[in-house]
Amino acid sequence: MPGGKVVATKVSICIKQPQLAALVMLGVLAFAAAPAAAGLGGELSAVDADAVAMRGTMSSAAPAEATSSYAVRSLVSGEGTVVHEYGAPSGPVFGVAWQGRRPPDLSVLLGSYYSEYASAAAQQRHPNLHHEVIHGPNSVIVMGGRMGRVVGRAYVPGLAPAGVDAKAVVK
Amino acid sequence: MNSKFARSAFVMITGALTIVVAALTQYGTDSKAHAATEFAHIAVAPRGLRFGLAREVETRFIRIRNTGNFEANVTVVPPSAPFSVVAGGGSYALLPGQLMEVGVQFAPTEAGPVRDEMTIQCSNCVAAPDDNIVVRLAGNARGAVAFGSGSPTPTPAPGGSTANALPFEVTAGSFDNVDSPFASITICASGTSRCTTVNDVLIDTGSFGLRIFGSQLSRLGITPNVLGNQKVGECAFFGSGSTWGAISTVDVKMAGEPTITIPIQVMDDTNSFAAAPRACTQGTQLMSSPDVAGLNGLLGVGQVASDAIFTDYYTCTTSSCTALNSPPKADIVPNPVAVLSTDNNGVVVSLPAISSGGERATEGTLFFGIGTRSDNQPGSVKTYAANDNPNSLDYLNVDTTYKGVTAGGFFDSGSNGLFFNDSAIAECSDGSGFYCPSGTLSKSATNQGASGSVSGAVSFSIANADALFNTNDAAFDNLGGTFDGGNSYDGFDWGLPFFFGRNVYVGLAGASSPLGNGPYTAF
Repeated sequence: MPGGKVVATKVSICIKQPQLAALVMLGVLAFAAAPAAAGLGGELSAVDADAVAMRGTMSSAAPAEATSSYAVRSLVSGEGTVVHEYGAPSGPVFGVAWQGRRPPDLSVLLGSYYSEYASAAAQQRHPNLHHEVIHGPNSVIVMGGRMGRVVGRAYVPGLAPAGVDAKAVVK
Repeated sequence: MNSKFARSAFVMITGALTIVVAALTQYGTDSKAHAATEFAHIAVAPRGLRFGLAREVETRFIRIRNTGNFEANVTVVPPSAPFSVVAGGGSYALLPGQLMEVGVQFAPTEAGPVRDEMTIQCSNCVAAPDDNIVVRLAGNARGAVAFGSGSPTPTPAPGGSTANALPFEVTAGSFDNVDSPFASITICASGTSRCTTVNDVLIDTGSFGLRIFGSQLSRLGITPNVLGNQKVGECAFFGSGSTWGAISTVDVKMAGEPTITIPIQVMDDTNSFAAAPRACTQGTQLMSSPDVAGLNGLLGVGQVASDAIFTDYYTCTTSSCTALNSPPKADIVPNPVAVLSTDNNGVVVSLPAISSGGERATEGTLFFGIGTRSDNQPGSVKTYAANDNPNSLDYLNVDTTYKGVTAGGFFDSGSNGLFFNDSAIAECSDGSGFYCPSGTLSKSATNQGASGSVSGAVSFSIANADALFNTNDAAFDNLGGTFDGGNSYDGFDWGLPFFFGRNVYVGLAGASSPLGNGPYTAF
């Protein structure tokens, strides 16, 4: 258990062991209680959990045509940002799109692809204040807009159902 | 009685105009029906401009009209100094019936007569004489002349010769940027003579308020504003990330305007403030330093008087922050323009036309105020009212129609390209999202005011971005890219390329001006 040892050492700087144990227990409980979130790569049926994570609500306003190949589910984040998630009926979410006053929490919305976004974004400059394209190894994230209105989309071409062009349908 | 008379006269004029338009439409339909083929043809007048003996810098106009029934691809080949093209230059498509006025400026720098010529080219016109139409230019002077004081429209005046004229430069700056308008702003610790001039401050009509990286202000000894025993912080959201830092009230000097004392955001790049709350970054990258953001500061001079409804305020200890839902007015970052004593109803962004091949550096002027002084009087412009409902997602947008689809559009000097989705235009292979067509494309989009009454087409070009970047120039009027990476058109960001060759009037929400009440954009 070398991994656990490292964590314990780090945290024990400011927290005593019994408290640490309690924290770990809490963490396990919280993890067990919270439904798995969707986001990129997650299940479309779990989008409700994304709404919870963003302190928002599910929206019934259908944003785009669903086809037999994929469905769209929408939520409005606590800050009023409108989010659409695209996924096959029995497949992963292959695209997300948003518009609002501010970006949604990308660490939730990009799901398991957040880390590749974060490392790619950290390695590039952002010389255009109002527009940015980030390419992860598997994902594409585009965002832009001005103060008060930002838009963006992210998709994983490899997760899209056969015959579906993620770039074309995610909006 | 006078007003009543004026109103009925207006109705008559409107009626007459309607008839003329109807007649033109009828004519257009007929000619199309009878025309065997599509053809482009341009009429250029006059074929010569005589400036005479100039006493001040003068601008005169050549009119190019497409008299054919198909769009004409026009290129204006500019003359050499002391003549220059200040409006309507470059390459663009003229739609059938469309008129372009090309402004030619004569700015002699020495005594004596000068002659030159410029060429209007049409690459696809039906008649060979249209390929190269020469316009002769002549002028004389007793010596170098300056810009006149009574010019009817704003004239770029590098050097800030008048109190409300802030010169800026579209140049690579310290950050190797393209299409970024950079100005210098002087900041002082409030009420003291401890001042510094910050260079590479981006002029941004797409945001509101002044933001400067803390490293640029380190010698001033300024401190965050406080509420109780806590410091006030702010997070602002931009298209590509967020800015985070303390609110600090400082003295600001812009051009020759009287000093204003206002709260600004001191973007934290020196770790001298609490870390950004999670709700600020939202998992995006923080604009954490001048190098990352490509600027030392941001001068937000868009259509709203403060950033209050768009940003989040916090009170912070040295290590953690709590949301501040109703920040005191004294801590809310204002649009500096709204705070000026007289020139406070908007700005004019003025940039000369540039060569379609790009330029290393181009001088422009940001005029404070609209119709408040002789140098910011609106000439003949169309005023596009912006959406004025702060609760709408379309707030501050106009309607922009491209290829028959209408979506929200906005005019943003802080965007370094014309951004709109068109899957028919090839994107560059480096994945930057810029467009890289094999040849320069002529395009057109139509803007309509939110109130619906005013509309007008804008012709623009999209060149190969890789080829533009390879020139090492920094000012381009034909740089474009995707809006949000999708295939279908869903919005138009008229970035800096749009501003070349124009005076763009940005009217503040709720403020009155000769062009009406804001929010609006006029050009």
